[in-house]
This record gives sequence, C-alpha cells and structure tokens, in this order.
Amino acid sequence: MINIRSIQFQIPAAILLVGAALIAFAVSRQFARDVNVRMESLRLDAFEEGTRLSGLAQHLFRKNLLRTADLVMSYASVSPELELGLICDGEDVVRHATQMQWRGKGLSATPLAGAKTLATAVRETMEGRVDTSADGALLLGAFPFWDSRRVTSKGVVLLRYDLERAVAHARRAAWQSVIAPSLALMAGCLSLWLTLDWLVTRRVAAVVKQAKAATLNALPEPPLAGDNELAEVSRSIHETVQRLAEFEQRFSRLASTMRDVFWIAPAAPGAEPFVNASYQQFWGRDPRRLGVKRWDWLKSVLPDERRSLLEALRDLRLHVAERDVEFRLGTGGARWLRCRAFSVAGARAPHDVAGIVMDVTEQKDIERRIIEAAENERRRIGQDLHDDLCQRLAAAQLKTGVLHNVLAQVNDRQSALAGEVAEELGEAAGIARSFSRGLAPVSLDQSGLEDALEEMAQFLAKAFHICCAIDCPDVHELLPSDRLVLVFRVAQELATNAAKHAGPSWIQVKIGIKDGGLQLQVIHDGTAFEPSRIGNGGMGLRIMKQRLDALSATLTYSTLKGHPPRNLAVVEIPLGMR
Amino acid sequence: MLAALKPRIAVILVIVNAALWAGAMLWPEHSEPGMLSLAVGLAPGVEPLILARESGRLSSSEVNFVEMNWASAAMRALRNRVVDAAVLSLDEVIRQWDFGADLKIVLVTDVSEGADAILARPGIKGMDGLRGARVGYEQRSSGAFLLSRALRQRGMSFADVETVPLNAAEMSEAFASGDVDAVAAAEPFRTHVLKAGAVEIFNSRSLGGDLCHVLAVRVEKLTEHRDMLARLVRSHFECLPLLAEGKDHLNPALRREELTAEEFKKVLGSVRFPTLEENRASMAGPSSDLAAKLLRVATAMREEGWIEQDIDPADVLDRLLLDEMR
Repeated sequence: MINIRSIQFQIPAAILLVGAALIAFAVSRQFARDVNVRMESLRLDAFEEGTRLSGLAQHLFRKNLLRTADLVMSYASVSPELELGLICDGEDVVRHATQMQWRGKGLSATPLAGAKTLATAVRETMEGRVDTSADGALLLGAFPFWDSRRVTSKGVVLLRYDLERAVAHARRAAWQSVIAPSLALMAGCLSLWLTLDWLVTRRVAAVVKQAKAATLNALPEPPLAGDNELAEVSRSIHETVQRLAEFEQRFSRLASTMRDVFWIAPAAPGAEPFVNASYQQFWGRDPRRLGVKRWDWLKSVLPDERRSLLEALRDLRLHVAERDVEFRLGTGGARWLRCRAFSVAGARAPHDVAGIVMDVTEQKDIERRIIEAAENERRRIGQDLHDDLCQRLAAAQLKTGVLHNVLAQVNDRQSALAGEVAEELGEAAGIARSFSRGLAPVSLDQSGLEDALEEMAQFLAKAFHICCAIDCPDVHELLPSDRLVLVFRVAQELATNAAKHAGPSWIQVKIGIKDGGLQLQVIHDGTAFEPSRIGNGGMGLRIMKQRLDALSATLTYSTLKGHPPRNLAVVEIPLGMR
Repeated sequence: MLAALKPRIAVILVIVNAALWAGAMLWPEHSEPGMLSLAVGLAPGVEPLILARESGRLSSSEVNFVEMNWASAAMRALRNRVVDAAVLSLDEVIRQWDFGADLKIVLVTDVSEGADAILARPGIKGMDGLRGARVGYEQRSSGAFLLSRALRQRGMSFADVETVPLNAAEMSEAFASGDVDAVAAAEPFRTHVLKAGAVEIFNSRSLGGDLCHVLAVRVEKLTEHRDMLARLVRSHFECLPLLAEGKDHLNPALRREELTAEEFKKVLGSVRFPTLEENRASMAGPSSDLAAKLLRVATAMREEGWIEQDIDPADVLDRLLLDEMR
C-alpha cells in the first residue's frame, strides 16, 4: 500500500503536479498560438485570393472570358477552408461561383446574403477588406473590381472561410500535443518513485529495522554497506549501539555487585522496572515477577507504611526531586530499609524514578538499644536522685525545721534565718523530686501510664500555665513497660513542644485503642506544627523519631477545622510488635 | 510504515514504466488527414453527390467539392494532385493512367446511354455528312472518344474532319455563332446545343455502354480517406432515388446544369445509374463487365495513338468500398 506521507510518494507527486501544471500551461499557450497563427494565415490567404480574383475578374469581365472565370473559381475552391466564393456583377447578380448552382442568382438568394453590407462598404472605398464574423466562426472577404461592361458598375468578389474548422484543428493538435509529454511526465515520476524506492526507501527501512532491533544485550546488526548517506547513518547507529552496549555491560556489572538494591522505575506504561540481584536478597521475591506485576515489591512492605512510600513515589514522578524514605519489610521478620530515591529529569512529567535501598535494620536496632540504654540510665539517675539527694534534702529540711522551732522558742534572732533555710531546702527537695520523677517516672512502674501522664500534665500546668487534660485508660497490659516508657516519652515530647512553641491555651492528651493498635493524640489550640521538621529538627525531635521507630509507630499531624482550629498530632502504635 | 515493494508489484510497475516511456517516445505527431477534395464536372452522373452535399449527408468540412466546368480541367487537377479524387469518364481515367497517375476506380457513377452525342447542323445527314466539316470537341476527354468511335463506325477518322478544340461550356455558343458545324457534346451541354438548333446524328447508345463515368481516387488517398470515400459512395446510392422525385431538392442540380425540371428529366432518361449490386458485379474479377469495357476502350484509344501502355483492369479496379456496403 502506498504511504502518501512518505518522501518517496511526495517528491514524485509534487513533480507530477508541477509538471502537469506546466504542460497544461504550455498546451493552452500553444492552442492560443496555433489558433492565432491559423486565423492569421487564413486572413492572409483570404486577402491574397480575394485580391487575385478581383483582378482576374476585372480582366476576364472586360474580355468577356466567362468560361475562364468559371475555371478560375474552380481552382479557387481547391482551398479546403474556402466555403463559398462568389463573383457578383454591379447588380449583385452572381456570375461565377465555386458552387455553380448559385450562378445567375441574386446575392440575396445565396448563403452570402449577409455579406451585402460588407460588399457595399468596399464598393465605396474600392479597397478590399477581410472581416471576422461576430461569432468568430467565419471569415468574410470582399474585394471590389470594375465591371467594365458598364462603366460605372462595380463588381465584387466575396469569399467566405470557415474558421471553426481551423480552431477545431488547433484544439485537436493541442490535445494531441498533451499526450506525449504527459506520458513522459508520468513515466518520469514513476521512474523517480521506483528509484527512490530502490535507493532510499528500502535502505531507510533497513536502517529503521537495524535501529529497532538494536538491544543492549546482543550484538547489533551489521550496518549497511556503501558510501552513501544512509550507510553512514547505519554505521553511526551501529557504533552508538555498541557504545551503549558497553556502557550497559559496565552498569550491569556494577549493579550486580552492589550490596544495596539499585532500582529504576520507568514512567512509560508497560516498561519493566530494573532491580539488581540484591532485590531478591532483601525482598525474598523473584525480580522477574516485576516484569509482569510492577507493584509486586509492595506486597512485602508493611501495610501501614505503603502509603508514605507511594506518596513519595508520586511526588517524584511529578516533580524533579530527591526523597529519603524509611520503611519496613514484613518478610521473615521486620527489616528496616532506607530508600534514597530521585527523579530522572525528562522533558516533562511523569519522570522516571530511580534509587538505592539500604538495609538499616542493624542501625535501627542499635538506635533502639541506645534509647533503651539512655532510658535505663535516665531511670537510674532519677532513682538515685530520689533515693539519695531527695532523701538528704528532705532530712536537711526536717532538721532545719526543728532548728527553726528551737530557735523560735528561745526567741533567737537566727530563727527566721533557720526558717528560710528550711523553706529553701523544701523547695530544693521538691525540684529534686520533680527531676527525679521526670527522669524516672515512678508511676509508670507502679500505677501506669495514666498517672505518669497526670504528673506530666501537672508539671506543664505549673510550668507553662496551660490547662492540660489527660484521657488515658488502663493500658499497662497491652504493652510491656519499656514500650510504655517510650509512649510516655513521645507524649511528653509532643505536649512539651506544644506548650513551648505553639502557645496553646489548652492541651489534651488522649490514649485509646483503635484498629487493634494503640493511638496517642495530642491536641491543642495553638500554632500548627510543620511535619517536615521532624527528623531534621533539634535533638528532641530526632530522639522522638527514634522512639517512634522503636515502637514501629507512625506520627501524623493534622488540623481539625473549627473555631478556633485544633491541631492534632496522632501516633499510631501497633500492638504485637516486640 | 516503511515497506519495500513486493517483487511482483515492482516488476509490474517497471513494465508499466517502460510502456509509458515507450508511449511517450513513440507517440506520433499530430497529423490529420486533410479534407477529401473531389473534382466534379457538369454532368448528370455527379448530381447525386451534389444532392448529398446539399442535403447535409456530406459536410463541407469533410469533402471539398471542386466544381469544374469541363472534364480536362478535372483530369488536370487530379493528375497534378490538386484534388484527391474525381468523377471522370473511363477513357479519361485511362489517359491519366497512361500518364503515370496511380488511380483506382471505386465506383461506376453512371453509364451514358444517349447522354453523349454528335450534334450537327440540320443540313448534315449522318456521320458521312461530317466529311470536311468543322467539328468541335473537347480534346483528351470523353468527347474525343465519342467522336473517334463515331467516325470509325463509319470508316472515317479524324483526318476526314476539321477538328475545332472546344471545352464543353463553349459548345453551345460556338455552335450558335456558326464557328463549328457539329459538336461532340455531353449533357447538359447536349441539351443546350439542341436548343441552339442542332440535330443529333450519333449518340453514346451505340457504344454499348463503353462511355461511362467512374469515381477515380488517387491510390494513397484511398487509405487516408477510406472512411470518407465509403460515405461518399454510400451517399451516392442513397441520393440516386432523389433524382427521379423531381422535387425542390433538385433545384441546386437544375441551377448547376441550367436545365428546367422537364429537361432534366429527359436528360436522366439518357443516363443509366448502376445499382450497388450492378457495381459489384461490374467489378467482379478480370472477366467482369467493367474490366471488359476498360480493355475495349483502351484498345480503341491505343488505335488512335492516345495511349501507349497496356492496362490491366486488376491494377485499376477496386471494389472493396462496394463490398463494405451493406
């Protein structure tokens, strides 16, 4: 089937159109020229014949050589264009004619009756004239002569020529002249089309086939032979494919030896993602499945963490950026992975995305142990404060109080001083006890999370003059104590941050059970907190994130509409994680 | 999508391409056969063709009738290739053939059965009375043939008379003015001379049909104008019946011949128009009627020393156009 958009078709088609236009133009000019030449020739013939006949007629009339005049008219009729010729005397009676049947008839009775006006005109001037009829179909010639049979008589030779025949002949000649150049034009265009097919289209098809067949995993097809442009293009493709194949081999070697997972997710629909061999070690899944199901890897990710992953991927597809995301795989025990992903900038979204996935389980474990150790140390210090310093201060306060009473009884001037010392010692003991409780919340070990939170609320109310409400059921059987401590610490951090930075008028801390897990909510009416700061902010936020990781918990921030709006920090803590 | 031509299609296209180039190079230049020009004299035998022209059966853009007053003018025009064909008498065709003109006879238009005659003054009794008389005739024409045969039948020759060369149109004037004692005249001039007071002393009825008129065509024009000649022949037969009708459509013929309707009717009585079948039969082979006439006329002309070569009827007669008529 002919492809009308191909160069092979368009070039010959353009030449055919231009050539046809040129032929039509040339033929029309030739036709006009032929008609003009023919008509001019006829006009000249008419003038010559008319002049000759009028001269002969004058002589033959004078000599009364009537039969000779008949012969003269006979030979005049040999001209195929002369339709009718008449020699009329002074009374417009036909004396001689190319058609003998008109002899003796009046001019008015002949087919040349319409030339009477012309005859009259030339008789006045005694000059011959050739006119074209109004419709352009006839040429009329009138040539006067002296009819010497009567002195004042003027005869006239009338000639009528058929112009339509000349025009028709020129038209046929013009049409005939179209045929040979048209055949040549069609032959030339077809030759060009065939030549383009042989020289260009076939070779271009071979080059396209070579390009399409090129893969980076196999040897490229040999290039076209020859020294022409297409052979050069083919050689360039061959060399480029070779270079790309070498690069691919180096890349494949590098990717296969990497300990981490290197992956590429093309944006094109149906394109197969790339993962190196480490994928199977990390995910425990066959990487070939990704060719069939692009999202097969997601099945191993813990359900709670899929959303953040997908959001990160979507963001990278739409915007050229880099993202770091940590998530856990649920296969064969929890494994922590950190993915550093980046967009591969293209002309426009969606972009390809690539990245490296590192196993950070050991690092997380170390962090958890550090937190545990820090917490233990904090508790030990708090316990030591409580057991030693607080007791000593309490004892000193007691003794100072006794001293004050004794001195007051004896009205000693130093009794007031002793009273002040006792009071200050009491304050110091209180502060030491609060430090002790902050470092080692006793109530967590003894009376549960609620009491610890109540103590925290009291501290916040006293320290920041903020109303802090606690809503916490008995959850000590849902989580071990070390994890409860982490929950408390997270609540403490969130509430304290809110009190310090958000400027709320109230804070509410709620603990509840939701969807089989523990949910911690810290609600306030202050300034909203920006989630992007977590992990990148101060030490407290980093430590809180570590604690959340240790709990396998997720933290989200939101704002509830209302007057005033309420800012919400929600921590989802899965139960059953140990 | 790029796709190379299938081999079979490529072969077909190459063949088509070659054909186009061949057509372009071999396409002939434009040439049109010229109009067929036909010389006709003044004779009843040509009037069917004149009627065909006047009735529109033959267009003036297809056939150019060159009307000539006398036969020798038509002969000269044919021999000099001024015209392509002419209606001549059989003896006139033989003369042209002897001159080297390559002609073919394709049709017998008419046979003179009294339309050609020797006319003399009332005092001259028969052909014997012409001895020493001045006899006007058209040289190198049917008039010469008629006079020759008339004289020989009476054992006379041209030496026995005083010949006066005339063309046919001059005969009545010459007779009326007394320039000649007798004339050899063919219709319509025979009728004009009779009206001038002549008496008939011999006519073509005595020649057994040897004096006939035929349509002679130059050989090269026979192929070039074959279709037009076929229409010409067909029109002749189509218009034959019109001659006898005597209606207004005969007016052009009457004006040409300067005869009244009555006179023309009488003239038609002295002419026999062979039918299509008679034409075919007269040209059917070497023993046909026309072939025999051709040989007889040629013999007579050779005796007079008018021609030198032998003539083979097969070289002259061509009945193909007649055979194509249905």
